[in-house]
Amino acid sequence: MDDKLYRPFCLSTGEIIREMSEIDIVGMDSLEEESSELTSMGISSIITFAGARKGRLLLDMEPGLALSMAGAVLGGEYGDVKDPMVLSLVSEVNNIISGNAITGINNEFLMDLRLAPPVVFAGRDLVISIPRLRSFSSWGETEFGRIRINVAWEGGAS
Amino acid sequence: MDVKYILPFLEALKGVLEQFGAADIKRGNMAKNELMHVDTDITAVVGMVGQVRGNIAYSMAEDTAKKIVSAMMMGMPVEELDAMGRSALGEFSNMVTGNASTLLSNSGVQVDITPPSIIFGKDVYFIISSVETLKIEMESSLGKIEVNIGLEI
Repeated sequence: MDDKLYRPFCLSTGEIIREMSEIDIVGMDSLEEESSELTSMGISSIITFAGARKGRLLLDMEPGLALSMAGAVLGGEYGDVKDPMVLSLVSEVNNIISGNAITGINNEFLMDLRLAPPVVFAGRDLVISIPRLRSFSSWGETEFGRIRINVAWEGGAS
Repeated sequence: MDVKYILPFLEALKGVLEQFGAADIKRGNMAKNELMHVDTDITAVVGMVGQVRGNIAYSMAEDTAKKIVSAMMMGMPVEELDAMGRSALGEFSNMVTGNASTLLSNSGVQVDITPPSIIFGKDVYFIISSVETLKIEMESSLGKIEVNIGLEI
């Protein structure tokens, strides 16, 4: 696996969440291959991209972390991840993380990748399936809950 | 949202459903939303980049998904949506959105589509666009599909 196409997302996630919400992520320093199905921890956001290659980033976190981030960034208290303000915040965080990572990848590899808008969702018994894409996850911990990113590129891991 | 950006998705969905033998294809209710609430079991989402950016979500009941997958597999019975079934659903959403992007490019709007994601769950709240989302129901002999179109034009 060429981790130059995966590491930028790990680094960007830690940097952006710390900058926006002053929440530190511990871990997120290794990548492991996932099956084609992922069970959401509570709230998830997907950004897909296309250019010289296609792929996507899934940002997935426990409700406590999403609610704490919303409180830190937007002010106030939030009690439900289905609150449109919480959904919008997670969506925007993913947009900034992905934009930052893709800018770095485009600059280094001239891939001319463009991002589709983020999709964010929360509900019961959520399972996400990304057919026919090999994907790798990186896990992190915060004082408010766990976070995972899952990165997939069409055409394999190199 | 200009109708010229909406019709290609409906025409493409109708065309793909017909290709798989669906009959009695009818357009149902239409509504504008900011937050999309889905009470069906399965949603396939495909992104779009280029002159138009956005996401298109196709939501359906599990029974409808099984009928579509069965139709795609020449009528083979589908008891559960295994890896092959999920892959077929991804391909279905790819075909519809890909055909819509061809129709859009025929009218001078160049777009590219991104890999599909299939989301299973109950009582799911989505945001697929920072602007409004247009929801259109399509009924056919295979069941109801709710198409949510969120385009940033």
